Amino acid sequence: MRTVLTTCPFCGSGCGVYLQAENGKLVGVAPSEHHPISRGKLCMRSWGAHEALLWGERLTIPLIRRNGEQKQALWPEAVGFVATKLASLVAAKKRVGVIASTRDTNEENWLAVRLARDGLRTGSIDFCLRAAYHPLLDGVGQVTGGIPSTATLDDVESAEVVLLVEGDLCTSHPRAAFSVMKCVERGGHLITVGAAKTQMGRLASAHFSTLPGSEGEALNEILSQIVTSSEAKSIVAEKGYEGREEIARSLSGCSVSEQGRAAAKWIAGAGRAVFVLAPTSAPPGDARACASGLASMAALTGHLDREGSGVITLLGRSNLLGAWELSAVPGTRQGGTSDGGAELDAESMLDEVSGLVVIADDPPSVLPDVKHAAEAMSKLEFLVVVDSFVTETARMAHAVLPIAGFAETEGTITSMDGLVQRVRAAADPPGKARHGWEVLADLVAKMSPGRTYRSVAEVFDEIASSVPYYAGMSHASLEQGWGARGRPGRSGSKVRLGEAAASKTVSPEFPMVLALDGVMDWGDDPLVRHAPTLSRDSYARRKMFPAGLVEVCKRDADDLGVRRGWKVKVRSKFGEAVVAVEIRDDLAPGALLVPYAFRGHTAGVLRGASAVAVKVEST
Amino acid sequence: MDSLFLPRIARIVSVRDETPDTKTFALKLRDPGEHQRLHFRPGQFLELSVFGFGEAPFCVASSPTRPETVQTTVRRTGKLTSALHALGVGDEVGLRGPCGNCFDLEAARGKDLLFVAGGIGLPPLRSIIWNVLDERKGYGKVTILYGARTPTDLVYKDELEEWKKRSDVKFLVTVDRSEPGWEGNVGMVPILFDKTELTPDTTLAYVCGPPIMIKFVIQDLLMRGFKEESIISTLERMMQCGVGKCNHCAIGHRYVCRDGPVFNYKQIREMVE
Amino acid sequence: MKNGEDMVQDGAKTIARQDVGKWVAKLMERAEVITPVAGHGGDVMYSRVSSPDDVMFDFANTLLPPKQFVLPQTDPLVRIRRDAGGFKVEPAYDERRRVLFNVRSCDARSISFLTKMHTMDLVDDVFRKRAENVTVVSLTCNIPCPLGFCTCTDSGPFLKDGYDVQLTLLPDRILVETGSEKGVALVAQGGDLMRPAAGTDVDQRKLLEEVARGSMGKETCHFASAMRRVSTGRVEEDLWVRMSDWCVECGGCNLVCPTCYCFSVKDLRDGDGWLRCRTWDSCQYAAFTMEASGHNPRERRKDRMKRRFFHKVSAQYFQRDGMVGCVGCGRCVKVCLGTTDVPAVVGAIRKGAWNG
Repeated sequence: MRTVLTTCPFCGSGCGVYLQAENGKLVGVAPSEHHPISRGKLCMRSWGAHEALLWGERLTIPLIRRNGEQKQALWPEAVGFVATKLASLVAAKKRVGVIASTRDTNEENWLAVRLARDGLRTGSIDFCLRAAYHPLLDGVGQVTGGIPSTATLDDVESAEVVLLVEGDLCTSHPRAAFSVMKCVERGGHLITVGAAKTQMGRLASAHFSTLPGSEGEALNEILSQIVTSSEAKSIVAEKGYEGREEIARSLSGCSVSEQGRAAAKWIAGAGRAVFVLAPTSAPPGDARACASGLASMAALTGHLDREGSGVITLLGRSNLLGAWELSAVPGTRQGGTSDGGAELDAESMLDEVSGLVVIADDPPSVLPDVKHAAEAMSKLEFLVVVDSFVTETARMAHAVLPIAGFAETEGTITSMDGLVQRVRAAADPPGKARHGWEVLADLVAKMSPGRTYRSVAEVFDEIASSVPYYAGMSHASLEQGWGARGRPGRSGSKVRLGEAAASKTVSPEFPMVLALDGVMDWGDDPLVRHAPTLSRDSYARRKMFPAGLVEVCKRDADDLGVRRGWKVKVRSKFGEAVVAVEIRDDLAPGALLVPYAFRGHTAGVLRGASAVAVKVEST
Repeated sequence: MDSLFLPRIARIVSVRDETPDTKTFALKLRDPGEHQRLHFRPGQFLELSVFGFGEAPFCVASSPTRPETVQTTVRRTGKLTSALHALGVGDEVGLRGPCGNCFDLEAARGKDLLFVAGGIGLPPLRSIIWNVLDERKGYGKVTILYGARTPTDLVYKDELEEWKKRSDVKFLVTVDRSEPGWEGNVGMVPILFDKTELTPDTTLAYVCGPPIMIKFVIQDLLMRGFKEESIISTLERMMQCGVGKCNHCAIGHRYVCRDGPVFNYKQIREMVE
Repeated sequence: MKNGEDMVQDGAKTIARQDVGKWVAKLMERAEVITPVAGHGGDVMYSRVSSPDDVMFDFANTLLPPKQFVLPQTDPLVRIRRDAGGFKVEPAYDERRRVLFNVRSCDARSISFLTKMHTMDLVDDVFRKRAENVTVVSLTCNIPCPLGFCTCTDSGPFLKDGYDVQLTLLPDRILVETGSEKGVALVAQGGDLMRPAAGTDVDQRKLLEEVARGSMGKETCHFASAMRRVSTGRVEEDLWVRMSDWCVECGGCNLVCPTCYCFSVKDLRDGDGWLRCRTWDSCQYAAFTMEASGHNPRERRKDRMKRRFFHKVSAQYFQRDGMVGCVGCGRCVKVCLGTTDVPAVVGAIRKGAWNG
């Protein structure tokens, strides 16, 4: 039996896990006792990390669509076909784009960027989750000088105070939830903010119940106490922070509860405090303000630069930070683009490009507007899919290049708190599938002759010499120990404090708030969907609510006169939908949450927003 | 000794549509000698394989007095049952079993028997009903009470007519919601109790159906004086192995696939969830 | 407990430290030898050795128990093929000869427990055929591991039975006790590397056991009173509710537990046919008892937690299995992604209180 240490591909925690294989096929996993992040533990998904690759419907042979049907092809033929077609689109000044991934390696993403910028000469490169995370990364970055996380999960465990702007941590980042539990077990104060008082909320010393999208209001409450204190003023003077007075001015009329006062006191008085931020339902502007507000709170209480304190931005995917740092994001390249147009993000690409390369992702299952994404992709002139699993997107493609899954490939990924670790092959890719970096390198070589890479380590070397965070690292140096952290480059300018968040308004006409719960659905992710043990819950839920689902608290359900499974009509200024009701005892009154998996049914009500005021009636 | 997890290959001999989403499959083992040696008793279940889709437990709906085929009635609810519904006469499936305990026919001899079934709860009782009717002299009064949501949802429609016609069986049927053309009773199964004479002291009651229905029926029977040990039901649980190893169907230290699926109400009440 | 004379009578042997490698080499001629080996960065895990030099003697314990060698995480049960004559099925037996070498007492005890579970009532022949070809050489714990509580479960630090071969590290040699015919045969492969044990060897072993037991201090996991409460349903519902908030349902406790064996069965595509495989499962997972209708009798986590501890600690299971469903290895303490390991929960049940 082969036992190989790799890094878990699910959330952004960066847990180490051994994959076990026999005769080239995966059979199971084993935990790593000494790994600095996983420390012998694994979450439910990690324990099933081998499942999808073993049990799932895999892409095993290159495919080219001829006469409407996907036909098997040889590798050179397939790569040649893709390169030729893409080149012809570029030559015809048609728009092309690349969608990279948060579940592939840094090397694959780097080559994706090279393909887009150098090969296709376009700035249209993006990854599907970037739009959801951009406000957080941007908001926190405004204060920290571009660093998404200045603390680690170990800091959470030993903190005296943890402020958590929630998602459902136990589901989205179980490893992080564990650290929060340890903090509370040791007597730390946990403060949670969110529309749902989930498991973390039940362990909290204080839970701020807000309507979805209005998390910023709770933060403002606390911030208003902190921003005018003498301690804050002296910290600002000492560190040279800018913007305190503006925040103080905009929060001057803020009403504060007992809870808000207590929370402010705990935070300001703590020697070690960690501020943890998950994606909220707030619209992008508010989410950015929420993020900068939280980071400002850390700064104003001296916790930005202090040992054992800081901010953590919870990234939902194993290599989200890597994709972000390697600039797999839309941006004008030097010398302009091949089509002369502005760079496109993932959602826009679907509508505006003629040629699209999708790497290790299935956009309709990740992007907020399911229907639009599927429809737009079906109309693409030339769609290329480079992936390991059979997905809806792969079925639509004009060319399919099958690649190895995470446990079958070599490379690196970057955890949410900046640990760069190796991903190693424990098994062989099935059929004719090849390592992703090899396939992308072939494409890059075809489109930018002379640009070749002889090994995956060489790809990483180029990353190390181009992206400051990775300077000095190499596959060889990452082989020993447990990965490496780079030196976070701080921008030279002084830390700026962010603005306070605007508040969400309901009206008599639309008295409740409907919001999407989460920014991605694990049930749709191939690594879960194809895993027999991991997919049971989401599969059962989808079966039970085929016509859609919205979650309300018992009180609201009683007021509406409905029980579990009964239908309600939800109407906003944009549109309406009829969906079934599920009761959640941990939800704030006035809030309706749509689990991300069911977002398709209420798309007309939300119309692209992540939260909207609605009127709800029983049918 | 046979391998515990090894299914035997069976062929579908006939398929009968019972309702829009329910079919009865009659199966015969491909090897005639094996089929001869196959002995299911009423109440037991079999583990049916649709190869490539997996295996699932289904109660045996046929009586050992008619061993030409083994029959099971299956509602389409998911991937495996959909795949099964797509099969036809001559297609092969896997069959493991008999699994579980059975209805105690010895204890029923000479007694009056009351069968109360709701919806898809009739199939497990059909096995013991036909067993009893095929050996009619060994038992006392036989009363069958059956209810379904609508007339369309009634299973074994032809056999219901047979039971109705028999003079040695009291058969009553009801539906929750009527449909055009239905002239029979309308209402939930317990309404049938008042239309028949029950003698709790001499009667064993067999109750199968949706959990809510079983609950109300048993409450009713207890109120009428039935003893807890005289009320017999079958429990359903998520199962994987069907042979008492995987622990999915464990309730306390009892295993529905080994100690059940047939339990009397006293046993059910004493179970530790 | 075997006394010195019994041991000498039963043919207890010793082997010099420097000769163990030669014995292992002989074993490797006829079987796969699987022992704790060094993993990455200080991790220890069971693996098949290609050289006797890879065998570790100095380790606390592995995180994944050796149960994976009698009950693999993905375990083929039936091979399904199809040809012109229809479907063909056959059991997928794994009869590789293996020696699990340097298995700690708790783990050795767990192998006998798992064997009992799979051969009582209806016999799992796939398990049995595999287990029949596995010989367990256990290594006593002269220095008990920090988290273990095997004295509370009568499964260590030294065993009195339930092993094929039991090794005890003495200062300059290793005491070799046999507990079964398989064990006798394995020791015989050592030929004249094995010498009869002297009375002093046996005395040293007894002393080491006393010292080891003594160093474990007072009991850390009181099963008896917890058992009474669990068996009679006298644990407050509210206690289960509060404890379940400190669990994230990772399933780790079940998966690393040497005596847990819950599984699911699914057909894995294999060329043109399928391999029906048993796969590890956890009763803590929400969908473990979910029925096809969508009804789930253990929908709430507190019910799943209650179920787990009923299986581990109840008198009903104790009577059925002859032992409590725990060998005190302490792995669940290390692996728990919350704070609800066996000693913590058993303690809470005893005291009727939970502090997180």
